[in-house]
Amino acid sequence: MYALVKEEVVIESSNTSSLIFSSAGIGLRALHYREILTTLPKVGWFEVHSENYFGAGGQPLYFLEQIRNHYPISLHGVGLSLGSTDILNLPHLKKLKNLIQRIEPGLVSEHLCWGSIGGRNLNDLLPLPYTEEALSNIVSHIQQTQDFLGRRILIENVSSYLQFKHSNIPEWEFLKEVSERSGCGILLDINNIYVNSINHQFDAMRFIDAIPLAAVEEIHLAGFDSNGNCLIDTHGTPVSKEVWALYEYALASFGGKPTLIEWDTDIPPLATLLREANKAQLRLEQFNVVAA
Amino acid sequence: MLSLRDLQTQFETDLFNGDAAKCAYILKEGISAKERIAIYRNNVFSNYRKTLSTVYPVVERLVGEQFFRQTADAYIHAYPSLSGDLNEYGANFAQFLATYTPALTLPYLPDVAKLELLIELVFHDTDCNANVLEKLANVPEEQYGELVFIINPAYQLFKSNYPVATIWQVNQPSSQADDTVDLQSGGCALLVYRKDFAICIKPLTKGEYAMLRALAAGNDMNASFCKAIEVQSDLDLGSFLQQMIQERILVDVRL
Repeated sequence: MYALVKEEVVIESSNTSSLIFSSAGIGLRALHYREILTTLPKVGWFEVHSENYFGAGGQPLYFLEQIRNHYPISLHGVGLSLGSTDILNLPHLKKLKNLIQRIEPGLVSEHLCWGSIGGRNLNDLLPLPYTEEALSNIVSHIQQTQDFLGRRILIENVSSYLQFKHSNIPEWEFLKEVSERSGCGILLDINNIYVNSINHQFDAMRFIDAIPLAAVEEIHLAGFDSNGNCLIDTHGTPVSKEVWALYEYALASFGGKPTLIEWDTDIPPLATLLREANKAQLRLEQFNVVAA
Repeated sequence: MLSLRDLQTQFETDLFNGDAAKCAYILKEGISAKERIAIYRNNVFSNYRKTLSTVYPVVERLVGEQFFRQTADAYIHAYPSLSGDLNEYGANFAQFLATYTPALTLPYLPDVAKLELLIELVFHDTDCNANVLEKLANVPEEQYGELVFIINPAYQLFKSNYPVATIWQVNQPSSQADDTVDLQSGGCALLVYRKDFAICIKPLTKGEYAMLRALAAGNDMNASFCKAIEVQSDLDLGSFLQQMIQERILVDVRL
């Protein structure tokens, strides 16, 4: 088992602590590195895709370390393929462990999905069939990962555009079981819940109601697009009003949690991201006040 | 019921099979199973295409967007991704272009791709500190011939029969230069390195190239210089070494 990062009152004035508190953060993008370092904007923390910093050196790691001197960092992985029947990729895990030692992140997360089969990587977040077999397979991979890294990780629910015929566990039950059996935390992506609730016709609030309060350590918010038939999780638009409403519902259930604005395609100016993060921050402060 | 392994194998086959996809394991809800798997196919292919076009912008500019997309798709079918890190995808693109029939009319294209890959490798390579000058100060001049230099890990040497550096240069978005390149103007030998995180491409003479190769292989100064003057008798060793120390290519030295 791995210790939860407790939400404590910040008493230390040092801004280089690794702990991520219940505040809004944004994704760190190369085109914003210099602006962030010269302006040091008021934002709680930054999240990066771990794999983008797997190189041995150079500009990406230099800027990440500079920014880490001022803000906590969350490492969000997209390539471990925890739900695959392939064995875990040891070189990938080693690179992640090195990066963790170098950056000392507040949170480390991955996805409830698979991405490789027979050594071939599809480099996408592919949905799992929600069965006992898939559950015990991913739980075992999460446990191996946590043992190797020596820390608890968070697992994020993904958006999906299809369902498998033989799935016999609701997605929310599956996520809850993954967390309970492996001891991992949950990164709850509110946008993905909303996208799936439309694509697969279920009540999004029911998903949130099923998630154990203590397991949720981070929340993601993002924008989606529609292809006419399906909502697609593109991370290229502002958060929709439906997703904001669902976020407020989640905050009422779970209390304030570190919340990330994800924006991965058509990346806007830093100021736009900060404005979007501020909308989350205001909601968090409301709920923090109510909770206190 | 399909085992998880069989389902993942079948899904992969269907993803790459286009219209022949079977998809019997996917639930029909509104839109067809084939349309559903097509969403994933589109995501997967566009991720790979984006990665290739990020690493090979000059190749894309040379062949045009549409041709690049077709070439990328052919590459994606021929070369599966072997890493969960998408940034590692595309390392065999030059090799692929050399045998890709529709691109054979542009014989310099594989070398342009090779140069772009080297730039990518240098961009992410290990950092290091240079302290060669301090160390040299303590070496008596008569021992210079036995010196073995350590080369900055973030560098690559490259040789081509085509004027690849010029092609690369005039195809930069910032380039103001005339974009016609005389293919008969001959080949080039290049040093790719990093200076304050910016990528530099330095044309080398035959002797300079031979010298750096020999030093990189661990030869001492005497042996390296012998190899260099075999190909270029008028090599100005002193000023070349000075430049390589200044540009932090030679970062350390031992006897």
